[in-house]
This record gives sequence, C-alpha cells and structure tokens, in this order.
Amino acid sequence: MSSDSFLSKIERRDFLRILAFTGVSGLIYPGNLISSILSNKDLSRVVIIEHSEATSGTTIYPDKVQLMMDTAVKGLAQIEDVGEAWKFLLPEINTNSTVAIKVNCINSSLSSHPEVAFAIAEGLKQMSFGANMFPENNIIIYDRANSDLTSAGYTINTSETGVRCFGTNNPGIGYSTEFYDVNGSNQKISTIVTEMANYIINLGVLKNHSIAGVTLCLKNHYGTCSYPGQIHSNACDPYIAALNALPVIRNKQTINIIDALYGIYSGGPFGNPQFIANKFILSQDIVAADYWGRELLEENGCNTIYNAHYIDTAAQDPYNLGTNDPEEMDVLNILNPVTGTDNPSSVSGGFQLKQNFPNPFHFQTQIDFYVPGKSDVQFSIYTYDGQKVREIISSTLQPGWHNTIWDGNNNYGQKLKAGLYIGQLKSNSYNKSIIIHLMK
Amino acid sequence: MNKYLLILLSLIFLIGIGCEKSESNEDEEVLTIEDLLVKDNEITGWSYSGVRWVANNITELTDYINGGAEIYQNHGFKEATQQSYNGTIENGTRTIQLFIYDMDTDENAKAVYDDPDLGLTGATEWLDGAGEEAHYVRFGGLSQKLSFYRDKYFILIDLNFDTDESLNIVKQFALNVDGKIQ
Repeated sequence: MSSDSFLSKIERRDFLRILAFTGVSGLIYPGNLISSILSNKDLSRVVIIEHSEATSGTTIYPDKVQLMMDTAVKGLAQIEDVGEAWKFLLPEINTNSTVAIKVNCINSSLSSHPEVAFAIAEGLKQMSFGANMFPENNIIIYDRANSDLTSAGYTINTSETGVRCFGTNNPGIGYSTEFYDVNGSNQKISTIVTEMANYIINLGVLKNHSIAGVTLCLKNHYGTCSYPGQIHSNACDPYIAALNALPVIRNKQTINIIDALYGIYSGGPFGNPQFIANKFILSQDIVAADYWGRELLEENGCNTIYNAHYIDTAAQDPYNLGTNDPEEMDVLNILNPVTGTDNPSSVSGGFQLKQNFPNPFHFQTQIDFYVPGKSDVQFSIYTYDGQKVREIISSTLQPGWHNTIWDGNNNYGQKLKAGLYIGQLKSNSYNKSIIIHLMK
Repeated sequence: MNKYLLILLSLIFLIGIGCEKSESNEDEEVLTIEDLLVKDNEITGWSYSGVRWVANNITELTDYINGGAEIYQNHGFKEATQQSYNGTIENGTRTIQLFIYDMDTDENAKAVYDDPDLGLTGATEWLDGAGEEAHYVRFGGLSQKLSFYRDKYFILIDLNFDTDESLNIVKQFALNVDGKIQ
C-alpha cells in the first residue's frame, strides 16, 4: 500500500489533526511550546511514521530505522530532544529503573526486528539524569524463549554489560508462582514483568492471525503469560483484553510500537513477509496503536480483520485500555523524516522540502527545496488555524534546487507575532509542509 | 556333549538370523515423518539451519506455530515436523522452511491444502509438479510460499526471497519430499 492511499484514508475519516511534514528532526522548539499548540489531553496521540528508504527488498537500513524511531518518539512526546522525549514517555524513570522491551519472535521469519529494538534501546540510552546516562544494562529485550530470540537474530545477553536479552525460559527467570485470572484462565506471568521491569515497551509486529484476526501489540504476550494456548478461544476475545488489563501488565506497559517495516496479510501468524510498509505506529494507547495496525493490514488486503474484535473489546468496559474511535485520537503522520545534516545536493528524484534554517528565527530564515521538473510552484506561510498570511513564491520554476527567504512578515509587510507557522510547498503533484518557529 | 553344543550353536545362529531379518523388516516398514525431510545438503548448497521440531499433538504444534495450529487442528492433525535450511541465492543467505504435516487421511490433507486461511488464495497452480496438487504464491520480491499434498501428507515450503531462481529451488525441495512419500 502506498503512503498516499493510507493518508487519504485518514483524511476521509476526518481526523482532528494530521500533520505530514518533513524535517521533524530539525525542529528545536521547547517541547511545551509545541505541546501547547498540538496536543489535546483528551485525545490519544498516535504517531505513524514512514520512511520510504528504511528497507530495500529484504534489507533493513539501521540508520533510517534509528532516524524513524527518534523522530517518532519526539513526535509522540512533542519534545525535540530524544532523551527528554523518552523520559517524558516513561514517567518517573530514573537510573535504577528497568525497561523491558517485549518483542515478538515466535515467527522467526517476521519478528520484531533487532534493528528496531536496538533503535529503541539507543534512544533510551540518551536519557540523562544529571551527570549520568540511563544504563544500557537496565534495558531487557525479552520474549518467550531464548531460542525464539536467537532464531530472530538476537543475541542472548545475561551479563552485566550491554543491553540484556533473554527469554522467560532462561535459567533463573521463569514464570511467577502466583496465578493471575485472565477471564477464567489461570496464567502465570513472566518474572521479567512481575519482578524485574518497571516499564514495558511493547514492540509488536504487523501480521494477520488465522484465529484472532491480527497480531499487533495487544496480542504480543507470548512469553509474558505462561499458557497462551488457553486464551485463544473465541478469537482470543476477551482474553487478550483481560490479559492486558492485569495491573501487573497495564501499569507498566507504557509505550506501544508496531514494527510495520514489513507485514503479513494472509496465512499468518507464520510465514515470511508479504509486503513492505516501511512504517512504525507508536502510541501510549495500546488500543489506538492496534486500531491503526489493523487498518494498515486491511489496506493491504488482509481478510481476517473481522476476527480482531478483541481490539474493540479492549476499548470497552470493564477493560478500558484505550480508544478505538478515531475521533478520539490525535494522529501525527510523519513522512520521510530527514536529519539536519542531510545534504540537499545528494537528494534527487521527486520534490524535496528541507527544514528552514535557522529555526527558530527572528530576522529571516532560509527554506531550501528541490523541483524535479519544470513546475508551477507555490510556497506560502499559514497560521496554525489555516489562514494564509504570506505568499512567498508563486511561479514556474526550472528543475533543480531553489531557496527562498522569509522575513517573518505577512503580505502587507507587517511583522507577524511570534509563534509557530506552517510553510507549505505546493505543485500539481506535491504538497508538503514544515513547521517554522518565528521568535520575537 | 558335542551334539548338544552343535544344537546350541545352531539355535544361536538361527535366532541371530531371525533377529537380523526382523530388524531389516522394521527398517523397511517404519517411516517416520522426519524421514520425509530433505536431508542436509541433499539439495546442493542447502544445509540445515536452526533446530528441527516435531509436534506429536496439537498442544506441541501450538507451541511452535502459535495460532497457526488451528487450521491443522480443524482438519485432523496427527503430527508435523519442521526443518530450516540455509543456502545462497544472488549473493545473500536465504532460508527455506519446510513443514510436513501428517493429516491422517488423504481427505484431510486435501482440506488443508484448500483452506483459504493458509494464505495461498489466488496461488498459481503448479501443473505436473509435486504431489496430487501443488500451487505457489510469490510475494513481490520478498518471499515465496509453495504447498502440495500427497496421500495423507500436506507440505508447506516457505522461502524468504523471491526470484525465478529461488522458485526453482523451492520446487526442488517439493519434488524431493514428494519422491520420498511415493
């Protein structure tokens, strides 16, 4: 599925906020400033990030994956610094905390990719606490069994250095002695969850499932619970919701990420990847994350999503794990994020719009953009409520790199008040925006 | 004394022959599901990788393939085995997963083959290929999946690559297993 069709679907559903912009990583706004404009505390924020060059065939590019993860986390927290963004998403975390990343490796052909799990770990390591950084040994990547992890490309590490990685079946780990009632099924819970972790980052995969319809984040607890085979009847409904609602999981499961670089739309949960999506879906609301994962699978021809009613159940009483109503979501779309160090001359192909520099600015700022062929192009400045305040370019341009300057004035030469503005580049076939910060 | 000794030696000899013959018959008659697997490097360049598993009941199968087990449970599953193989195609290491399911009857094997939940809907028929029927799906440069059935066996082959060359290798695996079933 192309990003265009996914976006148009979002637009059809009239979401309250969709921002498709590049150059996110170039933003240097204070987090609270952006939050004051973008956030609505009553909405569940979902970040859907795509990088068209994250993969090529079966090859994954870790640098692009890292860029995607860092950018998405900053977008989710609305904080520009990666480490600060993670700290915001993991409230009260400190250097004694342990963060467990739950991966899904039961299908070694399409697992939560190590490149993605380690991109998360790299971000976590950037959390600073005074003079100390978050210890990487306080990060545990876990799943059901060591063999599941190694089959998926992970290396078991139980040492006191580096990111730890092991299964619940690792000697000395195991399941709790206590049983937990999961809608009548007595389950033991991994001691990684009950005793070791303060926070769980749920890193699910994008797969269909012949029984449950889909396998995303909610249904990523093989290895968290001891007897998953007992909770598959009635398409896992309401067992999956009940499992995730257990306080020992719910209170720790802080961030949910769907590794949607690749997907399986049919014949899952086993088998090899069947399509490339090049996406991550992130949310602190596990139901909202799974809602969008399910949508993405449907877009790609999955015909078992009707079975995935456990997602809707999870949104309802008595579970109330999140929302499955898009009207209650704040969806932030990020396409092809770029680093501040990308060299424009190295980019070719379609239109490109770079983040303005400097940003924030007071007197003037420069915007670079690339035009692939002779085109009628407009570059305009809008306020956040959509009012066009300045038209800077409206002309036919030759192919190549161009730049323009904005002095912070409106069409009447009047200095605009400080704040965030949207710079939009448009042609017949292209429409992309950047966020520009004008200071006093 | 010599007479008794001769009788005793004769008996030992005859018993020994009998045992040997009996073992020989067992070798011929007992064919386990693992015997149907493609052997290490039996197809040149494709060697065992990972750990082979054998599932003798649906609980064990669920442990290995999670919810994917239900399809087989619905159609009379008896036992299964899986083996992975690594080989090189276009300068990269690729992995084939070979699954062999004993479905107890021919009808069950055919029913699994036709089950749309296996993800082979719209597959390309492989005429005059392996088994009684065979088909495959190519997933846009990413992977290939081929299945066939013969007698009570259903076979699924999954490769994490997709080219014409790789499809030929998948077909070699299928023909190899099919030859062992016949």
